[in-house]
Amino acid sequence: MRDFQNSLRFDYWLFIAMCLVCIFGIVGIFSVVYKNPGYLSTSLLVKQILAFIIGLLIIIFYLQLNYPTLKKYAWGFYLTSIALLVLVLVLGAKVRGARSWFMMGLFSFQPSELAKLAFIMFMAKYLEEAPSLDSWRGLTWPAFFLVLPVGLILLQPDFGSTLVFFPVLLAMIYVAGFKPSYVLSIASVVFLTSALLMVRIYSELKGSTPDNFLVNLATNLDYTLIFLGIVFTVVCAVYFFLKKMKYNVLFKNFLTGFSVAAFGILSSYLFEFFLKVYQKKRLVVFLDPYLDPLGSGYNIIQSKIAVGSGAWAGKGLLYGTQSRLGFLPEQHTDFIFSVLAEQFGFLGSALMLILLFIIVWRGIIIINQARDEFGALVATGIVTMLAFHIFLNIGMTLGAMPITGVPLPFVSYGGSSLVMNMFAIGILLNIRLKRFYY
Amino acid sequence: MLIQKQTLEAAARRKKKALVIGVIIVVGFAALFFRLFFMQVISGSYFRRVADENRIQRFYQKSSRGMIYDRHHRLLAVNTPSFVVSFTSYYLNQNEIDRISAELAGILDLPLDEVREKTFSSVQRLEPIVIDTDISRERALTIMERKASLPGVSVEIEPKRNYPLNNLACHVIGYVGELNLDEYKDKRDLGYRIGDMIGKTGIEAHYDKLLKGDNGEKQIEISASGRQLRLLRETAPVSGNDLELSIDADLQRVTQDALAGNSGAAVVMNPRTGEVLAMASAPSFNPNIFLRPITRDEFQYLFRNKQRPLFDKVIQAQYPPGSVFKVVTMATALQEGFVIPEEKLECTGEYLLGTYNQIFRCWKKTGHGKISLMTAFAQSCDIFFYQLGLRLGVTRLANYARSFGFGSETGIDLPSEKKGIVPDRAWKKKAVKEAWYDGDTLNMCIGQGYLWVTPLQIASMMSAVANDGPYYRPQIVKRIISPQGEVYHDFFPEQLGEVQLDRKNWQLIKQGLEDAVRIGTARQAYIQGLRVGGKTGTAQNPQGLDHAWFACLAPVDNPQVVVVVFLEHGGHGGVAAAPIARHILEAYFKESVKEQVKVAPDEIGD
Repeated sequence: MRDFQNSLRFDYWLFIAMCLVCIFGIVGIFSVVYKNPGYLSTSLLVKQILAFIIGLLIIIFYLQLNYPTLKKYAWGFYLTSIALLVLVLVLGAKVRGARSWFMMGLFSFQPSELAKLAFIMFMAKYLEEAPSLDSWRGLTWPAFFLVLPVGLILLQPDFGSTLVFFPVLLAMIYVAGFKPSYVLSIASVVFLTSALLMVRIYSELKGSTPDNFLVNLATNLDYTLIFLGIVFTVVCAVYFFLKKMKYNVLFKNFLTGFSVAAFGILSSYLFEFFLKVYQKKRLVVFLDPYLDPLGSGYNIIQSKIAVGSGAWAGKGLLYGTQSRLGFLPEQHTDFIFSVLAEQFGFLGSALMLILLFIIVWRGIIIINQARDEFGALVATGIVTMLAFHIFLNIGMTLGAMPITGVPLPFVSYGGSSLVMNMFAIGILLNIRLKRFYY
Repeated sequence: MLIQKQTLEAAARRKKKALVIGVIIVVGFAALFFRLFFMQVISGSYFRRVADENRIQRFYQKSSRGMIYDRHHRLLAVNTPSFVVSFTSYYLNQNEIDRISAELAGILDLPLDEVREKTFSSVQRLEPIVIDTDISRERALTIMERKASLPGVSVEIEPKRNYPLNNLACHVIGYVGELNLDEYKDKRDLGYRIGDMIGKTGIEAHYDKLLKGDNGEKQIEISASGRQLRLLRETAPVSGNDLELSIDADLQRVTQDALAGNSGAAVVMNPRTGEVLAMASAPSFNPNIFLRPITRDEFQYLFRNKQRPLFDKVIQAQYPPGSVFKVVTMATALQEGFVIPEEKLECTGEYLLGTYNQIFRCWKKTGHGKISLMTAFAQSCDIFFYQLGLRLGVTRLANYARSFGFGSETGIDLPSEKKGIVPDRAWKKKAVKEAWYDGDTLNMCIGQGYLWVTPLQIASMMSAVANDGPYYRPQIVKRIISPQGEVYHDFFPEQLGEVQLDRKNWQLIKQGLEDAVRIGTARQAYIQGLRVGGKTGTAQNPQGLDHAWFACLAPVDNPQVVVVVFLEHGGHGGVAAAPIARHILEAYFKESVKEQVKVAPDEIGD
């Protein structure tokens, strides 16, 4: 009976979509390493298939358990991941200037992948039990738990891997009951900060600065301060006018709006201070790849050519000229989507996009169906993590997002990432499977 | 109950939040989807082309330009092999490239910076860059011997234009030069590439499309590191067509020699067909100058010279024809019945134009006395013709002038031909913004004033006289021969126009021309045993020495050839120009006797 019920509650859509996407990825890696004249060997394909099998075993094993047990291990999980992040700074191998990997013979392990999932579980447990989320003060501890892994990963340094923590936390506190207006404020600050940062860096790299409001706001601190001063005066004037007219408007709302603007604008200045030149370039080069056509723009130019030249039906397996002839960089990791889009065209890449969408969409349904707050929060974290990675990675390959170097879940080469993402799917499957268990 | 209610409310809240997250995600996916659709479906073919440009490298092999021969198959323009050094930077590192640049600079005796600049541009563009062209055989061999230490350097043989007879017929043949950027923009679609040679003037320019042939192309697939992987497509170069001109190199030589030292033009044409046998403009130039770096002296000679060597005066010089135009005035007067040959008029050396109280003079200050039309023509009396001109009026005169081909191009197969001016009332009103006066008619009827003609137009006029009416388009190219040796265009005379005159009037004009040579102003052109008919002309030039004209045909009873000589600032036509024409005629008739003997066996075979 239970087996029968289980078989009904098992999310076939999610599982099959995930498997198909993984197979897409394996085919993509095959097409990259097959008779590759460069440094990529066939062992990458074997390792990826192995990781896929391990992932499947983990899912099967985990389906036998009950997900709330995770709560018990959440602390341990989180602390272990922190410990590993510290350890990797000492013992990790330096690959392309970053200590992100433990090298263990044939296999390697990336603790930041584990940290993402551990952070989600731990945050779910914390938020479920959190005493109060009504005020800004409720954010103190979550912010602290976020800064710990993010800071350690930045020390590696691996800027791209830290990004996902922010939207994940934001989505989770939103579902946990943090005030929507506060969530919106934070999102606005983040948006304003990054938008102004990009405008400023772009006009800086471009050399010639067009004289318009947005550019001035982004590039000229004096201008910005004067602008903020004027806005503040106007806000106060409007408030007192409304009050005189006996409209009951909370001054706090005005103040919040103003603070968001001020904080966003000023923090964009702060961020620029910390970014290195190559990071700045990578941040804005998608706006105009020809700013740096042989450097960071090269990847975007070649990726767009690869994707676009796939056209309707693609060039056929192993016939992708951009990838086979080596014009496309980072083929098996960051730009695996371009490799597939070139070979299989719009038909193939749209199918893959649909499969990825199914995975995320089933996740959202599971947020809704989870039998308890913890399950819903874990599902929220996982869905956000996956969706964010998908948007950033595919957006980058299409030249619509900055170069951040995040992998495409289930598709990009990388054992740690594949196993952890499959484990995450296992958790989602478990949350759905056990939704009527109390 | 309470707990359940709370749970239900919580579930509803959560559902709303899940929906919000869902909407954001749907929007994100939709954006990716549309971007993907736009890039792959809408712009797919564009990106496919860009991807091909990425991977396909094109190597061009220059075609061999068609040769140019004279009418007896003597070479006027050929191609000689020349050595070209180029460099491709594949997989070479900076130190290697530096070393190669230095070695090349040493062998080629070029400044190191110049070589280095070129090798670096090859690094950026990943394609072969020409380092030096037309290097000596010794240097080419040195580079080939050192091939092992000069990776990426190649020496190729490319055809290079050469004009073996140097100045001979330089204005007719023209010269070639590298396609410039403007020409490239215009002609890109016709298969021209930057670095191609294109005809700049003369036959080389007019027949460029036929002469140039098609470049060969090799398409090779390369990897991102520039390694050549496989040959995708190869087309062999196709040579251009050869041209055989109607020009006779020997006669051309005589004509050019006869003109030497003057600034002027001469043309020898067969009036029955329009074939141009010789066509010279002086001073001449050596077209080979344009195929190598030009020296300072050469530049001065070509571009800072009042006599304008590059200007083809046969088709581009426009001057009043002087008394040569009396042929047209006489033809008009006879045909329209305004004069009979026996009519006699008085020439006192001066003519008073009554209404304006203006004095017009004859070139002979003492006057010719009472003379007939035929004498007036032979002696080139102006006073006689003034009176004819007044009788005729400008409109009739202008109409006849046009029927002789003045005022429009002859349509010769050379670029930039000028068409001259035939003035009339309407033209003067438009161009000078003045009414037409009788004085203008007097000037026009003796070929002065606003009337402008080219030497070639005068040759057309003489052809009409020679043929009793019809005249033909002057043509330079006699045959076009494909690289396989097939003749796919053979000369065919094309009638350009016809002057309607009674036969007896043509006879009178020809007699007048012969009289001028025998007893008139053109006695310097007299040749024993040959009936030459000709008319001198002196175009008045207020700025300096007059321009000299002489136009003739021979033999008068059965004209085979028309010769026109024009000398800028040459002085009097009868003195300066007529002897040159005589020289050319003597050579022509000596040659043509030889030719008939020589050509006869072939003719029978035909």
